[in-house]
Amino acid sequence: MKSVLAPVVLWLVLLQTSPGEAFVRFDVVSTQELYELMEQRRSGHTDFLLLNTLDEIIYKSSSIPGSINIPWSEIDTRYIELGEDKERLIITYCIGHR
Amino acid sequence: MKDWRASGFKIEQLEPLPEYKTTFWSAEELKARLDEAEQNGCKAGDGSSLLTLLDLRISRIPEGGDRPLVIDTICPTVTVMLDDLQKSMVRQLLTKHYPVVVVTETGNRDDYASRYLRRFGYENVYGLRFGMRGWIKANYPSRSLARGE
Repeated sequence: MKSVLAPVVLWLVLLQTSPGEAFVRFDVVSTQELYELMEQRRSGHTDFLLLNTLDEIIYKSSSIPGSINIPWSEIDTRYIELGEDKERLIITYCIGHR
Repeated sequence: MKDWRASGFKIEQLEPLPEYKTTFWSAEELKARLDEAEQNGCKAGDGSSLLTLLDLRISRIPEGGDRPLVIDTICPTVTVMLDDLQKSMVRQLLTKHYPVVVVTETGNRDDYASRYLRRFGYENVYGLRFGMRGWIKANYPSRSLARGE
Protein backbone atom coordinates (compact mmCIF):
# COMPACT_ATOMS: atom_id res chain seq x y z
CA MET A 1 0.00 0.00 0.00
CA LYS A 2 1.41 3.30 -1.07
CA SER A 3 2.04 5.71 1.75
CA VAL A 4 -0.81 8.12 2.20
CA LEU A 5 1.31 10.73 3.90
CA ALA A 6 3.20 11.86 0.85
CA PRO A 7 2.32 15.51 0.32
CA VAL A 8 2.17 15.17 -3.43
CA VAL A 9 -0.50 15.12 -6.05
CA LEU A 10 -1.21 11.58 -7.15
CA TRP A 11 -2.63 10.75 -10.49
CA LEU A 12 -4.92 7.78 -10.79
CA VAL A 13 -2.90 5.75 -13.26
CA LEU A 14 -5.67 4.41 -15.37
CA LEU A 15 -7.28 7.80 -15.65
CA GLN A 16 -4.40 9.71 -17.18
CA THR A 17 -4.60 10.79 -20.78
CA SER A 18 -0.83 10.87 -20.96
CA PRO A 19 0.32 8.06 -18.68
CA GLY A 20 3.91 8.47 -19.76
CA GLU A 21 4.04 12.01 -18.46
CA ALA A 22 2.23 11.02 -15.27
CA PHE A 23 4.78 8.37 -14.41
CA VAL A 24 7.62 10.79 -14.97
CA ARG A 25 6.31 13.55 -12.74
CA PHE A 26 3.75 12.13 -10.36
CA ASP A 27 3.14 9.14 -8.19
CA VAL A 28 0.11 7.12 -9.17
CA VAL A 29 -2.39 4.96 -7.37
CA SER A 30 -4.42 2.16 -8.88
CA THR A 31 -8.18 1.94 -8.78
CA GLN A 32 -7.99 -0.72 -6.07
CA GLU A 33 -5.58 1.38 -4.02
CA LEU A 34 -7.91 4.36 -4.27
CA TYR A 35 -10.82 2.22 -3.14
CA GLU A 36 -8.85 1.13 -0.09
CA LEU A 37 -7.82 4.70 0.64
CA MET A 38 -11.47 5.75 0.45
CA GLU A 39 -12.34 3.07 3.00
CA GLN A 40 -9.57 4.31 5.28
CA ARG A 41 -10.78 7.88 4.90
CA ARG A 42 -14.30 6.82 5.73
CA SER A 43 -13.10 5.24 8.95
CA GLY A 44 -11.03 8.26 9.80
CA HIS A 45 -7.65 6.59 9.39
CA THR A 46 -6.45 8.84 6.64
CA ASP A 47 -7.27 12.11 4.95
CA PHE A 48 -6.98 13.33 1.39
CA LEU A 49 -8.86 15.33 -1.18
CA LEU A 50 -10.27 13.47 -4.19
CA LEU A 51 -10.44 15.89 -7.08
CA ASN A 52 -12.36 15.35 -10.30
CA THR A 53 -10.87 17.56 -13.00
CA LEU A 54 -13.53 17.01 -15.66
CA ASP A 55 -16.18 19.41 -16.95
CA GLU A 56 -19.02 19.93 -14.52
CA ILE A 57 -21.52 18.31 -16.91
CA ILE A 58 -19.43 15.13 -16.95
CA TYR A 59 -18.83 15.21 -13.20
CA LYS A 60 -22.51 15.54 -12.46
CA SER A 61 -23.39 12.69 -14.82
CA SER A 62 -21.15 10.29 -12.96
CA SER A 63 -18.40 10.64 -10.42
CA ILE A 64 -16.66 8.81 -7.62
CA PRO A 65 -18.57 9.47 -4.39
CA GLY A 66 -16.68 11.72 -2.04
CA SER A 67 -14.89 13.67 -4.75
CA ILE A 68 -15.10 17.37 -5.51
CA ASN A 69 -15.06 18.93 -8.96
CA ILE A 70 -12.82 21.66 -10.31
CA PRO A 71 -12.54 21.49 -14.11
CA TRP A 72 -8.89 21.56 -15.03
CA SER A 73 -9.42 24.70 -17.11
CA GLU A 74 -10.55 26.54 -13.98
CA ILE A 75 -7.91 25.39 -11.54
CA ASP A 76 -6.02 28.66 -11.69
CA THR A 77 -9.04 30.59 -10.43
CA ARG A 78 -10.57 27.96 -8.17
CA TYR A 79 -7.52 26.50 -6.45
CA ILE A 80 -8.69 28.15 -3.24
CA GLU A 81 -11.33 25.42 -3.01
CA LEU A 82 -8.51 22.95 -2.42
CA GLY A 83 -8.09 24.41 1.04
CA GLU A 84 -5.29 26.23 2.79
CA ASP A 85 -3.29 23.16 3.76
CA LYS A 86 -0.94 22.78 0.82
CA GLU A 87 0.61 19.71 2.37
CA ARG A 88 -2.67 17.86 2.19
CA LEU A 89 -2.69 14.87 -0.12
CA ILE A 90 -4.65 15.42 -3.32
CA ILE A 91 -5.63 12.62 -5.67
CA THR A 92 -6.96 13.68 -9.05
CA TYR A 93 -8.87 11.71 -11.64
CA CYS A 94 -10.57 12.19 -14.98
CA ILE A 95 -12.19 10.00 -17.64
CA GLY A 96 -9.52 7.41 -18.17
CA HIS A 97 -7.38 5.91 -20.88
CA ARG A 98 -8.59 6.56 -24.40
CA MET B 1 -13.41 6.94 -14.02
CA LYS B 2 -13.58 4.20 -16.65
CA ASP B 3 -11.63 1.75 -14.56
CA TRP B 4 -13.51 2.67 -11.38
CA ARG B 5 -16.77 1.90 -13.16
CA ALA B 6 -15.41 -1.31 -14.69
CA SER B 7 -14.34 -2.44 -11.23
CA GLY B 8 -17.94 -2.28 -10.09
CA PHE B 9 -17.38 0.38 -7.47
CA LYS B 10 -20.13 2.80 -6.52
CA ILE B 11 -20.80 5.70 -8.87
CA GLU B 12 -22.56 8.90 -7.92
CA GLN B 13 -24.92 10.53 -10.40
CA LEU B 14 -25.89 14.01 -9.32
CA GLU B 15 -27.53 14.87 -12.66
CA PRO B 16 -27.73 11.81 -14.92
CA LEU B 17 -27.72 12.46 -18.63
CA PRO B 18 -30.45 11.08 -20.89
CA GLU B 19 -29.77 7.53 -21.97
CA TYR B 20 -28.92 7.79 -25.63
CA LYS B 21 -26.36 6.26 -27.96
CA THR B 22 -24.64 9.07 -29.81
CA THR B 23 -24.08 8.53 -33.51
CA PHE B 24 -20.54 9.25 -34.59
CA TRP B 25 -19.53 10.36 -38.06
CA SER B 26 -16.17 9.47 -39.48
CA ALA B 27 -13.95 12.27 -40.72
CA GLU B 28 -14.73 11.08 -44.23
CA GLU B 29 -18.46 11.33 -43.65
CA LEU B 30 -18.19 14.77 -42.10
CA LYS B 31 -16.05 15.95 -45.00
CA ALA B 32 -18.67 14.72 -47.48
CA ARG B 33 -21.50 16.42 -45.60
CA LEU B 34 -19.58 19.67 -45.27
CA ASP B 35 -18.82 19.63 -49.00
CA GLU B 36 -22.50 19.13 -49.74
CA ALA B 37 -23.59 21.87 -47.35
CA GLU B 38 -21.00 24.30 -48.67
CA GLN B 39 -22.42 23.97 -52.17
CA ASN B 40 -25.43 25.87 -50.82
CA GLY B 41 -23.38 28.32 -48.83
CA CYS B 42 -24.14 26.17 -45.81
CA LYS B 43 -27.53 27.89 -45.58
CA ALA B 44 -30.97 26.36 -45.71
CA GLY B 45 -33.92 28.15 -47.26
CA ASP B 46 -34.96 29.50 -43.88
CA GLY B 47 -31.52 30.89 -43.23
CA SER B 48 -30.54 28.19 -40.80
CA SER B 49 -27.13 26.65 -40.97
CA LEU B 50 -27.17 23.34 -42.82
CA LEU B 51 -24.44 22.01 -40.56
CA THR B 52 -22.89 23.50 -37.44
CA LEU B 53 -19.67 22.45 -35.79
CA LEU B 54 -19.58 22.55 -32.00
CA ASP B 55 -15.91 22.76 -31.09
CA LEU B 56 -15.33 22.01 -27.43
CA ARG B 57 -11.55 22.03 -27.46
CA ILE B 58 -10.73 25.63 -26.84
CA SER B 59 -9.76 26.41 -23.28
CA ARG B 60 -7.64 29.26 -22.07
CA ILE B 61 -4.76 29.47 -24.46
CA PRO B 62 -1.77 31.08 -22.74
CA GLU B 63 -0.22 34.14 -24.32
CA GLY B 64 2.14 32.95 -26.97
CA GLY B 65 0.70 29.44 -26.81
CA ASP B 66 0.15 27.32 -29.87
CA ARG B 67 -3.03 28.15 -31.75
CA PRO B 68 -4.92 24.91 -32.35
CA LEU B 69 -5.98 23.70 -35.77
CA VAL B 70 -9.69 23.88 -36.51
CA ILE B 71 -11.76 22.48 -39.36
CA ASP B 72 -11.62 24.83 -42.31
CA THR B 73 -15.18 25.36 -43.51
CA ILE B 74 -17.63 28.14 -44.26
CA CYS B 75 -20.19 26.34 -42.12
CA PRO B 76 -20.41 27.98 -38.71
CA THR B 77 -18.35 26.75 -35.80
CA VAL B 78 -19.52 27.42 -32.27
CA THR B 79 -16.44 27.39 -30.06
CA VAL B 80 -17.21 26.97 -26.40
CA MET B 81 -16.33 24.84 -23.41
CA LEU B 82 -18.55 21.87 -22.68
CA ASP B 83 -19.88 23.51 -19.53
CA ASP B 84 -20.90 26.59 -21.51
CA LEU B 85 -23.75 24.46 -22.89
CA GLN B 86 -25.41 24.99 -19.53
CA LYS B 87 -26.16 28.56 -20.64
CA SER B 88 -29.27 28.97 -22.78
CA MET B 89 -27.67 31.80 -24.76
CA VAL B 90 -24.99 29.37 -25.87
CA ARG B 91 -27.44 26.62 -26.79
CA GLN B 92 -29.36 29.15 -28.88
CA LEU B 93 -26.34 29.38 -31.16
CA LEU B 94 -27.11 25.83 -32.25
CA THR B 95 -29.80 24.70 -34.62
CA LYS B 96 -32.21 21.92 -33.75
CA HIS B 97 -33.31 21.15 -37.29
CA TYR B 98 -29.98 20.49 -38.96
CA PRO B 99 -26.94 18.50 -37.86
CA VAL B 100 -24.64 19.74 -35.14
CA VAL B 101 -21.33 17.91 -35.04
CA VAL B 102 -19.28 17.94 -31.86
CA VAL B 103 -15.55 18.36 -32.34
CA THR B 104 -13.22 17.35 -29.53
CA GLU B 105 -9.61 16.26 -29.47
CA THR B 106 -10.27 12.55 -29.80
CA GLY B 107 -14.04 12.18 -29.63
CA ASN B 108 -14.01 11.22 -25.99
CA ARG B 109 -16.43 13.88 -24.75
CA ASP B 110 -18.76 14.07 -27.74
CA ASP B 111 -21.24 11.71 -26.16
CA TYR B 112 -21.61 13.92 -23.09
CA ALA B 113 -22.38 16.97 -25.21
CA SER B 114 -24.83 15.05 -27.37
CA ARG B 115 -26.71 13.58 -24.44
CA TYR B 116 -26.72 16.87 -22.53
CA LEU B 117 -28.15 18.79 -25.49
CA ARG B 118 -30.78 16.12 -26.00
CA ARG B 119 -32.23 17.25 -22.69
CA PHE B 120 -33.12 20.52 -24.40
CA GLY B 121 -34.57 19.03 -27.56
CA TYR B 122 -31.42 18.92 -29.68
CA GLU B 123 -31.77 15.56 -31.39
CA ASN B 124 -29.48 16.14 -34.37
CA VAL B 125 -26.18 16.14 -32.54
CA TYR B 126 -23.40 13.86 -33.77
CA GLY B 127 -19.93 13.05 -32.64
CA LEU B 128 -16.80 13.06 -34.77
CA ARG B 129 -15.10 9.68 -34.54
CA PHE B 130 -11.50 10.10 -33.36
CA GLY B 131 -12.11 13.84 -33.05
CA MET B 132 -9.89 16.49 -34.55
CA ARG B 133 -6.97 14.10 -34.52
CA GLY B 134 -8.83 11.89 -36.96
CA TRP B 135 -9.66 14.87 -39.17
CA ILE B 136 -6.04 15.99 -39.24
CA LYS B 137 -4.79 12.46 -39.83
CA ALA B 138 -7.08 12.23 -42.86
CA ASN B 139 -5.43 15.40 -44.09
CA TYR B 140 -8.71 17.24 -44.48
CA PRO B 141 -8.76 21.05 -44.62
CA SER B 142 -7.67 22.70 -41.39
CA ARG B 143 -6.56 26.17 -40.43
CA SER B 144 -5.02 27.75 -37.39
CA LEU B 145 -7.42 29.43 -35.03
CA ALA B 146 -6.95 33.17 -35.37
CA ARG B 147 -6.19 35.19 -32.23
CA GLY B 148 -9.39 36.58 -30.81
CA GLU B 149 -11.50 34.06 -32.70
